[in-house]
Amino acid sequence: MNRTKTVVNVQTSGHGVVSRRGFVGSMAASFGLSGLGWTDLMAASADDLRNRKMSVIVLWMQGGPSQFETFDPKPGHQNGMETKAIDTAVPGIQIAEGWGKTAAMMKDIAVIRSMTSKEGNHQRATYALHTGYVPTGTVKHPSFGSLCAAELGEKDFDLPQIVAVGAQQVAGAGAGFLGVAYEPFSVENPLEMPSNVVTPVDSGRFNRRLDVLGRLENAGFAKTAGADRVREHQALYKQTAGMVLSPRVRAFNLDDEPSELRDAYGRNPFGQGCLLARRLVEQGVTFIEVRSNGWDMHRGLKETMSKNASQVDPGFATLIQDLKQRGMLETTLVVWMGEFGRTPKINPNGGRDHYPRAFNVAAAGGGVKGGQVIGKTSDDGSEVKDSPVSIQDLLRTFCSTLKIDPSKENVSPQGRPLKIVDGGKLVTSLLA
Amino acid sequence: MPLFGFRPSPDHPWITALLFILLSAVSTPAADQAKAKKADKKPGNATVDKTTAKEKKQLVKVLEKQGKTEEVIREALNTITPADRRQALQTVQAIQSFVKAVEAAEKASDSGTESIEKLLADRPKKAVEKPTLLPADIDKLMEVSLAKSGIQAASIAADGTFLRRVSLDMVGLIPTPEQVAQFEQSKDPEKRLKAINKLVDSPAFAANWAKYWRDVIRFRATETQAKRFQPLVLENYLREKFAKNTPWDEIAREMITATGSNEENPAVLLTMAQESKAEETAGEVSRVFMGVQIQCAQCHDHPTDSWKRQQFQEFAAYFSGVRSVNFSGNQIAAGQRVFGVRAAGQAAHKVANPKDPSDMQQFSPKFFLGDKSIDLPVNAPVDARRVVAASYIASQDNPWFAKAFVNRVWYALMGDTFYMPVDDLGPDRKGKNLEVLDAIATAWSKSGYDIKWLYQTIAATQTYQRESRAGDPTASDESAAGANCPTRLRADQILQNLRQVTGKPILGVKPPENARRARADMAKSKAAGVPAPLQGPAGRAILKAYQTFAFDPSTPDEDVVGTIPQALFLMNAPDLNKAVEATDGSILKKILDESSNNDSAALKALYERTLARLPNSDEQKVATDYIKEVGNRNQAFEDLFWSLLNSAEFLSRR
Repeated sequence: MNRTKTVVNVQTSGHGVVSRRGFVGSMAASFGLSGLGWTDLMAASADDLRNRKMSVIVLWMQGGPSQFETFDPKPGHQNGMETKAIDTAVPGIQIAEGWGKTAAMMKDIAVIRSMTSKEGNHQRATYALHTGYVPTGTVKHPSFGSLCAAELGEKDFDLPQIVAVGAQQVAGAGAGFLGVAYEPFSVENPLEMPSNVVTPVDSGRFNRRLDVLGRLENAGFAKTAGADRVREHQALYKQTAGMVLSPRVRAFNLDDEPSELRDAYGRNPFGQGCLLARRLVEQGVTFIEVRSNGWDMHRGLKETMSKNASQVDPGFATLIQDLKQRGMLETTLVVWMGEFGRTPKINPNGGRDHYPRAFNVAAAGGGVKGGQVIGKTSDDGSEVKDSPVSIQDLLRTFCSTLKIDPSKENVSPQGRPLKIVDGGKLVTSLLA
Repeated sequence: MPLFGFRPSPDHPWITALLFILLSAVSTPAADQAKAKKADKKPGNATVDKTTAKEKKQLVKVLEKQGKTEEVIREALNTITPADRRQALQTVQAIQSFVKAVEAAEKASDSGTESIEKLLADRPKKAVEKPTLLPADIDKLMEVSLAKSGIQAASIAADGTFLRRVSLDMVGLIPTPEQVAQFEQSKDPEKRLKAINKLVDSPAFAANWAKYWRDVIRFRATETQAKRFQPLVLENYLREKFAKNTPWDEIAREMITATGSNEENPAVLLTMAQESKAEETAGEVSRVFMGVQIQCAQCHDHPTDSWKRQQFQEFAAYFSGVRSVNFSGNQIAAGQRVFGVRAAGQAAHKVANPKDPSDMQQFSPKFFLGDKSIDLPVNAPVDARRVVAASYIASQDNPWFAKAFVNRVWYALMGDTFYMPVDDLGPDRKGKNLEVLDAIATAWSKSGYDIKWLYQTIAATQTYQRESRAGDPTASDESAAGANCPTRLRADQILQNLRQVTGKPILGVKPPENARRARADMAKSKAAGVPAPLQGPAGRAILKAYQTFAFDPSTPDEDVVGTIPQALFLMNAPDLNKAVEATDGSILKKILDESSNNDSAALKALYERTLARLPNSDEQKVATDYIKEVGNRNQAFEDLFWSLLNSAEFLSRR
């Protein structure tokens, strides 16, 4: 049974803590939290970090975005709901109106119009897109993001390796059995610093407190029954204080960005979340999911869509442009997706219902070949006509661009080996 | 001591998702076609789903006139196709035939009841006798075990240590300085026993352990919709049971066999937690009540255990034929819906052969432990299935039922146990000290599963009352621990203790800027009955604080690790930082005032309040030096208070 000890990046420097009770070592004479030495942690500059690894930004459209009103418009067909198709930067590729800024970035974007799955329930589909598995009671699967963090993340990194932006709770987005080290760090509102990251006392006093805490623990609990508990606790505190005091934590503060760029991303939580994602990738964070709400358009689709698109279009497009300008797009995979598509027929409430049989996903950067459309749907949009792509296919292909071995197995607490991606085939046309 | 009179609810993450689910309908090609056809005839008409709901309502009206109960009608409605329903509306003849279907359903459920009684006639009746096993008997067995492995037992813990431990274990709170002083001063030779019994008999005992078991179930729930799996309703149910000292087998039987809405019968929530799915429920029932992880054999024969897929599916067959449904009809607004478990009249457990998905295999219910099992037919009535299952699981002839519970309680009280993880035992597992487990489990089983007796007996042993040792070097996979081992406190315990120590609710947020608004939120939550979701910003803060510290209580302690958000909370939460200040009315101010200028006395008072003990001489020296270094008495003590709340010891039982 492979029970991985999942101290937050602590891993107790190779001691492994197979059993806490095995530990009888003596405490270090002085813990010395005040000299945290975060400058050491900064030794590897953001550039170095970027050069060494890939990052992922997922733009999650919670509720299931309509393919007809995003990247697979059907202007000639009655199912198309009079949605106009607009030209993009790539001749021959058209997407739905309302996505003008994204259309301008089409040379970098690959649209997959032939996504298909069987999961038409929000929870199950969300779980499937996030983990590549369907939910079961036996095992809590790690999300693809947590797996990326585990596979690609730097060991001594002083920010969380995986960050979720937005207050929504998303099924299957957690670390599952990988444990808390890879649990997404949640930023509910990108316009504010995350909860409790900023110390309410000045850093001098903060350090002083950490120092006396360490000394008191070493003099007390560590000498009686708590040696190993204190050791782990101090390791966690060292890492957390490292984050609090790290200059990198400024990445969460968007005030540093020029106002024009903030405008370009869109002055709304999603747009600013995209900007935050770029800042985090810049600092070496492996995986960021930025969430957008309200895509479950059972009624009044036209109005809701135009409102949602007006927020997501600038965020998505500016993110690609910004990453590109900074030379980060090649190492940053940007994925736009939701849990399923929507019905070809418009329902009496002017909405569309759930439709997993055919939906679309857009991807850019990070080893993806842009400027193309993969797969197609029938004229009425009811079925995939060419090159169907399953969820497993998609994730396996992402593994390939991110240089992750999809067949690597993690062992669940029940002793069951689970591949990063089980099955699926490579969508070779997606690869750059 | 619940915060603001409420216990934190863990169900918050599902609320947004819940709204999506409630508002949505899955579309299938077939449904689309049907929809399209309808739309062709009457453009702009309602969807198929809505028409069906309307039809159902009409049918229900017709049948209610004939005096049929809603329950039976709904049952019959579920057994016929939408086409039949439509037909039933159109012709009198069809309505009559539908009535016949309803009557058949009634009859089926009657005959089910009859056969259940007959089936259970062969099962042994529960026999209850006063347990004769004494705490000293357990200690003797432990002595033998320790001697065999050459382990030196730790000495008996001091009164203060004992009182902190037993208070945390039984009611989740550290004792106040006054309680500690009173206990230490008492000359009563039976004071420990009396303290144990008083704690176990208090309502806080029931509240504490209800939260433990709520989390045992909640952390493995596959149902993600808050309205369907109501953790707070489950907690209330368990609290009432524990307060009444309802025997564990009765609680188990209720939960295994429950049907109805969660309002009438909250015992359904174990099944609801698994979306009423047969395989998931079977796995969870086996894990929770017997500590046997048979669900690993769901898809294939277990690689290391002796369980076969056949056995798992036969066990799962006991749990087929129930569904999680909305009990409140379609008319009621989403916020008021009541969900529950409904049993069909008949059931058949059919599963696709993993080697050939087109081959649907049918399994008849059978129990995988023990020598013989009542043969239930493949189409046995649903009620009979689950009643028979409960008669095997929660039964005195099933030793694993008692062992699973004792193994958990022993772990919670000792920090070390017979089988690890606590929910993974069974005939294929290698445990340690099993003669001790067997003795306790046998006695407890004979007692008729008297929960309070078990806690009182274990806590009264010397084994429980020993000092704790740092990562007890003697405890290993083979040998018993010669000491009590420290473990981490649960989320609700940490939050309650933060509140008790600081005198302020600590939720990791800015102290409510508008206290009246926060109170109004609380009142709203209270008025809503079960606070799920807790209302307003204060309610959200409680949920978030709880979630920050929550972990699955079935996880071995060495796998329960601190997280960055937890450390951030304790380090930087504005309300916590405010609560440690030496400002008017604060705890620290009071301590400093009362000690006038005696730092040593103030330090002692602070340690007593926060850690329920006095500082040792090294700690006193560190603190005294620190106060000198800082040169500002109030500030220095604020930092010390902050340090104690941020210490590993504050988060541990020891």
